[in-house]
Amino acid sequence: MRTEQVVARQGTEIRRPTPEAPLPKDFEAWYVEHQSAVYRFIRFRVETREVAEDVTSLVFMKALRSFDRYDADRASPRTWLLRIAKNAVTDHLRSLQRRGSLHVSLDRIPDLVADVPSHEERVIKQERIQRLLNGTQKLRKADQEILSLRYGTGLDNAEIAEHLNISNNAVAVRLHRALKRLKESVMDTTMNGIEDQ
Amino acid sequence: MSDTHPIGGIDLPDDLKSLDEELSSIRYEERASFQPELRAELARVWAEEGRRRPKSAVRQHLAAAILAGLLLGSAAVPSARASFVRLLEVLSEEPAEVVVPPQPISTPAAPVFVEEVAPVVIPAHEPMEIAFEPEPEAVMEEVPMIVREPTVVRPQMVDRVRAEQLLQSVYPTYLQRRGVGGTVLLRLWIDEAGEPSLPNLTRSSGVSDLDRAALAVAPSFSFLPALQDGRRTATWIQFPVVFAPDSVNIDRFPRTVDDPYALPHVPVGEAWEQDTPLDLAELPPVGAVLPEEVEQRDVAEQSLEAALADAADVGPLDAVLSGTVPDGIALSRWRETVGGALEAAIDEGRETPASLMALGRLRLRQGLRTEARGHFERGLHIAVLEPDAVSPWVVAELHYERGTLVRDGWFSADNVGRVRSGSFDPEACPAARSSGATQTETGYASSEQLVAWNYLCPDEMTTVFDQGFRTIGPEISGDLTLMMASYRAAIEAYPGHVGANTDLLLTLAADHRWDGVLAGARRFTRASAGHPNGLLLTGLALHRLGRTQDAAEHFEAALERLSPTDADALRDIGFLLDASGQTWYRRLPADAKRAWEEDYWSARSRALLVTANEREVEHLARAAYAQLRFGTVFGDVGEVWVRFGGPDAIHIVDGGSGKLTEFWDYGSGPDITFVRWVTSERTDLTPEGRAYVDDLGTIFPPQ
Repeated sequence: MRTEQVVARQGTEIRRPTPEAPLPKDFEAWYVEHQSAVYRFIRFRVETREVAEDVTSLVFMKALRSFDRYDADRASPRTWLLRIAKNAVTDHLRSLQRRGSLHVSLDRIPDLVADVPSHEERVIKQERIQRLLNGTQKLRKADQEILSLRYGTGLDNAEIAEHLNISNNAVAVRLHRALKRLKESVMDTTMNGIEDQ
Repeated sequence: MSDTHPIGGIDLPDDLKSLDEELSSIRYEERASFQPELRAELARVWAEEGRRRPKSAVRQHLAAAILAGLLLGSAAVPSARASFVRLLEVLSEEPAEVVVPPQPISTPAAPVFVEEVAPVVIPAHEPMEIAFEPEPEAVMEEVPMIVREPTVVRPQMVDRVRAEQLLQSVYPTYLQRRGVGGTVLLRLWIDEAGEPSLPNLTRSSGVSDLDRAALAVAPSFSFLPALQDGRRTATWIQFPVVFAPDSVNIDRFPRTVDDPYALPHVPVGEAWEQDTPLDLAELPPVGAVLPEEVEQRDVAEQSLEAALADAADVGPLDAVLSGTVPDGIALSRWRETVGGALEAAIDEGRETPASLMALGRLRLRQGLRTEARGHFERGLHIAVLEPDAVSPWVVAELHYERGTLVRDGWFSADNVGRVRSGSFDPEACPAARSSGATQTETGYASSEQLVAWNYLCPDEMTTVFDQGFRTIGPEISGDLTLMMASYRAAIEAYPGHVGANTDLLLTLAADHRWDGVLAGARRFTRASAGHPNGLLLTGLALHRLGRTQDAAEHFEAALERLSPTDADALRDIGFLLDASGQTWYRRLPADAKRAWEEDYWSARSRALLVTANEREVEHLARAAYAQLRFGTVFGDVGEVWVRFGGPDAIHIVDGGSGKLTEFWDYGSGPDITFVRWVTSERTDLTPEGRAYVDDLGTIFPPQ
């Protein structure tokens, strides 16, 4: 059979999951505490929920394999995980760019929602969210990072300051500038970009 | 001076404040099972890699030295032994992968929603046809929420010739040369002055450059604004833009015909006669597989293998082809490996329809529907250019996948609407006053109000739905036509295609076109060597056409060909029993079940004119329909369908937040209500619906 030959030749290993197997104790705690924050940080910047899941998986795999190199004196677990996440998102976007399909999702994004009462408002809101997220992708990476820390991960200014190792005031200023550029970017996308043709 | 909003000491002006609030309001719905899945995967990797990690020579020597020291010096001391164990654990680890610290990123930022598309001059000798269709008058549609009154004049396009010229100017030549076209469904905001803005993509063509071209040029069209009661008003409009490069493309995608319910054109001969009854005794033996299917799947795998070339570790080719993760392999790793190999094939010009099908399916499972559709359509394009090199089965699969994408959109909008809150007369149903004010801010009744009215005042509810229900879905007739055309094309390429035949015939059945179902199901059964779905659909049609005896024979033939589990599910009469009877019955061994079912039905035979038991055949027909339509006869939907049959009508109310409430109308009495979640395929009875269904069981106790 062709399939069996391929399996043998390529040495694909079929592994059975062991869902009850233990994780290192500290890592288990980090996972419980920070998994959602890392996921949201990533989801803010990638196209779909499924891609966010894939990238989140990579982040925790990488963290697990580097676990014994973690230095508590240099960064908190969350900061460490978010740095890995930042690199993973960058790698993901680069890979999309390499294959020429840096894909700005044109589909609806049903997992990103806001509390609105009706179907129309939800559709309009989703389109607005989509436009905002597309707009963030035009920004500088530093702007993208601070916006995803604030609106993806949900950190407050003090936590962002700790993460980026800058002052609270600097965070506020950067956020202000990033929001301003985002606003310009969104307006640019919907209005001016077309007339430039 | 505008209000300001502090953001950690810095005030934000109003416009940024609203942006801040908007971004803060986004909720991230994480898939519920993701966290435990990932946790299990991490644990598995930790367990396996921990076992496999080799000790470095230095560490091993160091461990040996320490071991000796500890054994000699302090093995008797518990704390020292504990340290020793911990130390050995540390030493057994290989050097971990170093996490690269954040690096400056030099790559440019991502592209934007609408990219700049340079105008392209089309050479005169290159024939090209661009249609902007249908006529603007026929396609300009108001979004219901904007235009509330019936006296509305829709926005009118002016200077259509110029619009076509503009479209021509942005149609990328490389796509024309390759014969790539498509239909882009756009939405535009037309303000009171007729100025278009805010272009949105409602439905992609599947080709990103065509989408961008349409989005780029649409705001340059000219319109007369909509009129509401004679006054200019702003509104959204939605319309398709069709890029059709040349006549070659007509065959690339399914032909649409005037009647979306038309049956496919397949080879006609004695064996294909749709009007000839099936000879059940002549059907191929159970489990027979069409030799051509084996051959064609083999061709498809070879084509995939050719595209993948030397790519390593993609696993079984049939899994890659079907886009299904092999059992026990980590999902994310598999996606990355297979996706990378398939994309490399595209980059290196080795793409084939089979590899594009595989990549499309992979992307589909990642939720990237637009990209998936693009791959399917590109696969079809190559299949048209090189028909001899492609397995008809792959062509059918590509058409089917495309049709299924269209179907999902159609189903999500079909019958979905809202009820104006003014349709309620509070005096008519005093008992429902506590369900909330009849006049709401949104102007529409909430799902909870409607459910309360439905069960408390069912007679009034009929009037409410008759007079106040307004559908809100987008225009779906085009989707229906395209979906059915895709299924027809799949069947024409491969007449035994199970999915396309089943979906096409179920769509006919939902419209009560039983003659068509009968003809199509007979042809499907013959072409598929007696597939159980074909026999079930033939039986269903015969039953609905009043031929009970024939229906019974076809159901019996289908049951023989189904797996024991599926056959058992169709015969299951648990829902017809009371709770204790159901528990007792479902615990019976198979043989005892069959004997008990026989007794059950023989005691309920209604007519002696036919050999078949009419009630049993009706039960099988309902179960067959539930199985084919919902994928199972169990669960709430299956239970209601099996117990009460299909409803006379279904109203679906969008309650916001991804929740739809379905009202199944069975004539007199309350509707049976279900809740369906948009983000999943799950449909359950509402608590009120469950109570009502249970009450029906009490009022009409099972015999």
